[in-house]
Amino acid sequence: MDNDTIVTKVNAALAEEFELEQAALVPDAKIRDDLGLDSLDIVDMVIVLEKAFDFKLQNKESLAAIRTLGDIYTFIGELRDAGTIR
Amino acid sequence: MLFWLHPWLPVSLRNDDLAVQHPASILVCNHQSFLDIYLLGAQQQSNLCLVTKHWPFHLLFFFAPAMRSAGYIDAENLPAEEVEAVCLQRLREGATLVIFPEGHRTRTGALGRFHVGAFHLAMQSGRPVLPLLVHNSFNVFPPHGKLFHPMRIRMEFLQAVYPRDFAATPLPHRAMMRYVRQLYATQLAAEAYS
Repeated sequence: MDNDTIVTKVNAALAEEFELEQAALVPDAKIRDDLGLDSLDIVDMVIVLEKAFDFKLQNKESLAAIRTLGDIYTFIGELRDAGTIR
Repeated sequence: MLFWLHPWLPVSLRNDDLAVQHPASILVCNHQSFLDIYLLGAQQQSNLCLVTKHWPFHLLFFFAPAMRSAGYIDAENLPAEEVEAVCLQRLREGATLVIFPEGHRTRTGALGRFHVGAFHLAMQSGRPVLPLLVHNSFNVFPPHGKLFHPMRIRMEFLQAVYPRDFAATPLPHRAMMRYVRQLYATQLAAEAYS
């Protein structure tokens, strides 16, 4: 899975579940401040991403550093590089 | 307050019996104006517990003591898990939680995006969500307007929505939230059309 595919899948999954405008889905978008997701949304976002990429996140602490949409792309890329997702 | 304002601000309420039939439920309401909180006084359910942002406790110095003594919940003053625990406790004690799922007043008159907290609580508690629809309070005091526009405000309880009906869906609280928001959107669109 290349980086462009990751971006497309993340954006599609989040746009559908959280009714976000595609135009708002830029790498610098802050998840809370710009996308307006609250703490409950962020818990749901993990579930949405697990389903979209068919993986189960074992270490929830690894999410602590995620602030922006770009951080999510990077995080999913790292899971791909580690062989967690294909 | 509604009594004194009645000559200029008549309020009608449909399906009022639904509030009495569903004690200890989660009452959600669209948020068009600061009047919406006072409009809650028009309905018959008396054991209400508002779940609000922090600023009313801070800035409404006249009402804040009453809000605290009534056990209203400051949703921004505690971690989300603790807010949820307090809300569930209030429900067990028989209170009806009042939540504005848009999180703030509309600035345009259009229905805003819903937050999921109220529906998460419904799933956790098994209690129904009781939607209260407010028509027209936006036009009485439009944002940034300086004038009060006397007109009739219509309120209506919609049928209760039960969490069990969404239990089989993935992320059931989100499915419930979308369903209830669509109820509001449909009703408000029908009102605009008529």
